[in-house]
Amino acid sequence: MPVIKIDDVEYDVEAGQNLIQAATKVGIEIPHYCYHPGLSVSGNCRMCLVEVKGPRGTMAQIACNTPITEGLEVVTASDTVKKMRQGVMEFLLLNHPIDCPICDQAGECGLQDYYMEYGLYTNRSTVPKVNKDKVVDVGPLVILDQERCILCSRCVRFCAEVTETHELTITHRGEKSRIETFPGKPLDNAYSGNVVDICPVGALTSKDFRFKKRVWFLSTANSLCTGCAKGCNVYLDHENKQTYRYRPRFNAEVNEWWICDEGRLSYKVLHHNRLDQALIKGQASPLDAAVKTAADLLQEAVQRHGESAVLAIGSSTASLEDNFMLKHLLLQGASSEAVYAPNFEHWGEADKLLKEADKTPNTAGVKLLGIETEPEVLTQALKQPELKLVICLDNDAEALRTALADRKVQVIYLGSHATPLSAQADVSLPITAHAEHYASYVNSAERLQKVEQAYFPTSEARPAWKLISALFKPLLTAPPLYDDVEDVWSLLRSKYTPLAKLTFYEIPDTGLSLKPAPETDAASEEKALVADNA
Amino acid sequence: MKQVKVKTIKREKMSFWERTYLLPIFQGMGITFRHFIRNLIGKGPNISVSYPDEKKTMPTGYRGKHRLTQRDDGTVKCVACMMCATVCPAHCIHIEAAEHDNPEIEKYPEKFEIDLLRCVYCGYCVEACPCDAIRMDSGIYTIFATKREDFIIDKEGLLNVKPQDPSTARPLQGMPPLPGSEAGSRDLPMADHA
Repeated sequence: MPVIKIDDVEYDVEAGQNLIQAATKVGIEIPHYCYHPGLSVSGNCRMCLVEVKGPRGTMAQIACNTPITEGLEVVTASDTVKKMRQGVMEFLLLNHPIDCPICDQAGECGLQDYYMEYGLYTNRSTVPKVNKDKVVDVGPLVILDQERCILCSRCVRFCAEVTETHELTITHRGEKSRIETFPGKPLDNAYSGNVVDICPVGALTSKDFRFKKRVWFLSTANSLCTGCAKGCNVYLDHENKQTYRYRPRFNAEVNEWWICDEGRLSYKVLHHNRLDQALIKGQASPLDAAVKTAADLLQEAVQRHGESAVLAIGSSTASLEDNFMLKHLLLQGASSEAVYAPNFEHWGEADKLLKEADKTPNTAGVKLLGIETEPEVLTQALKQPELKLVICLDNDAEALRTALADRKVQVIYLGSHATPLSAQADVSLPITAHAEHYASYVNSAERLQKVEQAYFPTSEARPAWKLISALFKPLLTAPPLYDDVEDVWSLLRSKYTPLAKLTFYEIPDTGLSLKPAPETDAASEEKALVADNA
Repeated sequence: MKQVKVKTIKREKMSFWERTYLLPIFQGMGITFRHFIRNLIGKGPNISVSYPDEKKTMPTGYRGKHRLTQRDDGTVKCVACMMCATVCPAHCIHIEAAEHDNPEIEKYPEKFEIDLLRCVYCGYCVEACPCDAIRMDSGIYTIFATKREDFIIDKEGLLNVKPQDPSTARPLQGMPPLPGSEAGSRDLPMADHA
């Protein structure tokens, strides 16, 4: 590993990265605008200028285009460097409108941040600023303000390198340069929202989030996009029990820096059409009464008609904990293993970047628990004549309703959203959605990832595993007390080998692969040796 | 253990004459009567105001009821930047922003409400405002209503509050952009510092 010297301190850093990356890893921030780790180096903003010692003396160089080499000597804290940054800032702000009061980026703006540190604080310009177009509608999700743009070209490179759709370009010359789309070709690729995140200034803002909230009012929780089986890591920004937006959270193994537009807007399901009251035969009822009614129905069905009278339908939209609890307690309380979690309707299109065809977040998790996911098997099982009661966890589909309509069975529905089935079920109980509880999901690459609770539910909703354990309480001789997600995990890790030795709160923020680690050369050699000896 | 030296001070007993407090009482009454008689014959510094008939002009800088200032065309000058709502220690300002038809104005408050019962009249909102859109120079200190809801003053109400005396009101500074103004002048006041 090469040894480099930054500000007279030696660091042992990894080869094959550039100076910004290396410096960030050892805790030195080199300010930059155009450089983005997910894009190619462009080197046009000049903000990352540092002094590099070379054979011809100390020279100013841009850190983003300086690869790490043995014996590299860099100065980042000298007065010259500070003055260079101040000069760059002065040029970048020369034609910037400074309309921070109406700019959505205010509070998370690269210009504001570095201005406080390196700004000149006086205006030496005597000529009027160049006016360009404001509020340009460039695509279904994005609004462009050409005046605020510092022409870092991150968005242009994103469209060229990541989505390869080439919608954006820089036109004109000199101070008249601006970002533009081609005539009749708006920025409407499936990942267009990412240009808003990577824009270091307020030039590209989100149409969806526009003027909704000043960013400093928002709190952030580490969460997951539940739009498909990919499980992209997101920051969930919320205030006052309301989610305002998702921002992609870097995870090298899953989504890198990006999320798709569909996923970005999928936060809306958290507030749309929620089941926020317990229902008994479609009538609103207090939660306690509804849980009691459901528990009585369940107890009667099991005790009068035996174990084959009950069937449970889990869901790949629900978390690992919820599905586990359903399966576990059905076995404990009703000695039945009739748990199915088919995905009837949540299918869509996949693409080569992030989107997956399976639009539920936890199919791999359900499979890990050994729950049957074939829709056919469930529809066959629903035809059994002994069946009296179905517990359905957040799973509703046309096919399921027709299968249930033929049968005179009682239905206990636990769901986060109001659906036709929740309206016709004998008892419907509201459960929390992913912003309102701690839970884990397993993505299509068998990566266990968790969501943090951002806020408490606005309604009576409870985590499904809590309600399920309340339902089975009368059937259990020694009902266990589950208060925290960790209590569920104490059982979960003892039952499933991939989860052994794990605790919920110790799952890293970027998740954990449940695939068995590929054997290292040493381990396989050892195995071969053992085999030879045998 | 370290010994602490204690010095006992004996309190001197008051005499019978002192315990009657007669002299201080008459001294105090003397002062009261002196002022009473002076005011009665109209020679004293009478600082009372016969309030509803007579009204005092509040000094410049007195923080009275808030008002929202207007552009020349009568539209609200506020751009809903939420600086006032952010700095407000009483959380009494509620703003909802919306998109303006004019791209040069871009953002305006669709809703601007101040809960006057909650407000502590600290004046931070006026200081935080980058557009001189909110002021407390109305000099109005009599804020009355019969219902709690009526103390929540909305955008129209705030626009209709007039300054107590336009001649003493703070001069207009840092005019926010006017539609159709010449190049460069659409900058907000903070552009001077860039």
